Amino acid sequence: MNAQGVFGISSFAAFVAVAALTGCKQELSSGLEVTCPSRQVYVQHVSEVMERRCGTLDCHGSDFRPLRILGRDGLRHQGERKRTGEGVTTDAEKSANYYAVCAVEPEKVSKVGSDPGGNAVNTLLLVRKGRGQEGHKGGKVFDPWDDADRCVVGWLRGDTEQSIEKACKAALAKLP
Amino acid sequence: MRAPTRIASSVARVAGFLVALAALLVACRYDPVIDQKVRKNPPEDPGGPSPEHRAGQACVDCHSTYEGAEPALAIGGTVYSQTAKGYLNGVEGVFVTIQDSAGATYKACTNKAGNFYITKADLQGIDDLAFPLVVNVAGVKMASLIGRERSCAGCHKLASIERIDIDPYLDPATGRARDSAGAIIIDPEFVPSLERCGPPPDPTTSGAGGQGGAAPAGAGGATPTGAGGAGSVASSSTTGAGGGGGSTSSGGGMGAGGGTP
Repeated sequence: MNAQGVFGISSFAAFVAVAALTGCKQELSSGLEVTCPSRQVYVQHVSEVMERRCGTLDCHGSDFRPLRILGRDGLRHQGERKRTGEGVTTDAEKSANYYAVCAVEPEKVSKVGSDPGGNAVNTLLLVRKGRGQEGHKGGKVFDPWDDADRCVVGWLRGDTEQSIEKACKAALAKLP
Repeated sequence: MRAPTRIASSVARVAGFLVALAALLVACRYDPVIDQKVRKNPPEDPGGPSPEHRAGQACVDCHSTYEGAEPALAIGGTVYSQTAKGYLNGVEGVFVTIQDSAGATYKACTNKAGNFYITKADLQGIDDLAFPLVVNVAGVKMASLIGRERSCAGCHKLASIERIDIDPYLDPATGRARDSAGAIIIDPEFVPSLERCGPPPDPTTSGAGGQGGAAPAGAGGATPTGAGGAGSVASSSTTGAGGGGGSTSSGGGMGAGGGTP
């Protein structure tokens, strides 16, 4: 192989490398803006409903579940030295729950926020599984538009805090 | 030498086919998760299978349609008391009440080992328990619902060396940890009379609730040895089973794991 040939191959390889890197850079720089509904509202009102109804040790309170819900009577935060049933659900646990729930379908959750009155919320896996409309080992947990459903869906849509609080409290009161 | 080669080749082909077929048949029924859980269980008790065997282990791993152990159980578990030194004893003769989401209530009475269970046959015409379940043990309500687990030990795991290796903060006496409520523990001294079942305790037997020996928890499967006290084996049954008897003390406390010794 002559020098020109080597140069040609090297040039081509360099071109491919630069193109690939540029492509990656563009991909990264285009970014994906993800917005999740209010963290404060989730932590204050919604988390407890999900802890009690979804986060039992045999369901989403298990390290083996992709969606993990932490809480006092379920799975405890890995970074905190607490056992099941000890103390109260900590801020770190509620925060972890928030991020876990938002991360199920981040792009779709973002869309719900920009179209609160639309149908987007009804297409979320979180909502569909809870309502038993999607395969869910725990079956139907909420009925559409019952208190627990309105608690979660209201938060996803960005309803007023008062209405979410009311729905969440009513849902908790109904739990056995 | 051609014919023997051909025969050998055919035999090999048939054998290969049979092996593949067998593997396929086994694979159809193979659930690695359950199999692994069952394999990890400590060995069978010396007396062999009985209503008192394998206390503290996940009953429905085997007593299910998958493993096929009889009787098929709808739910099952073990109730313990804890000595001052932290040892766990099976508690005999207390009711475990299970209320399902369809409104049905079932009661099971703990036997000598502390085991209780509701068989599929006990459901009397109903296909299955409707989850989530609310559970009371000796009159004390469990803090959380049961979402779908039929073996109490699925969440109420006893301590084991393997578990302690993973989580050094685990309570070595009760098994309570960040991912487990530990053993189901009650104080037999404070069980209301209405929550007692089975034969009345033998007054000649010492120890709380008539329970005899103690077994240290630790290497998993804490099997209460020498559980004397109340004699006969209490069986699980639907509402209304079991007799009265026992003390009339009120109050009580069930702990998921309790404190360290």
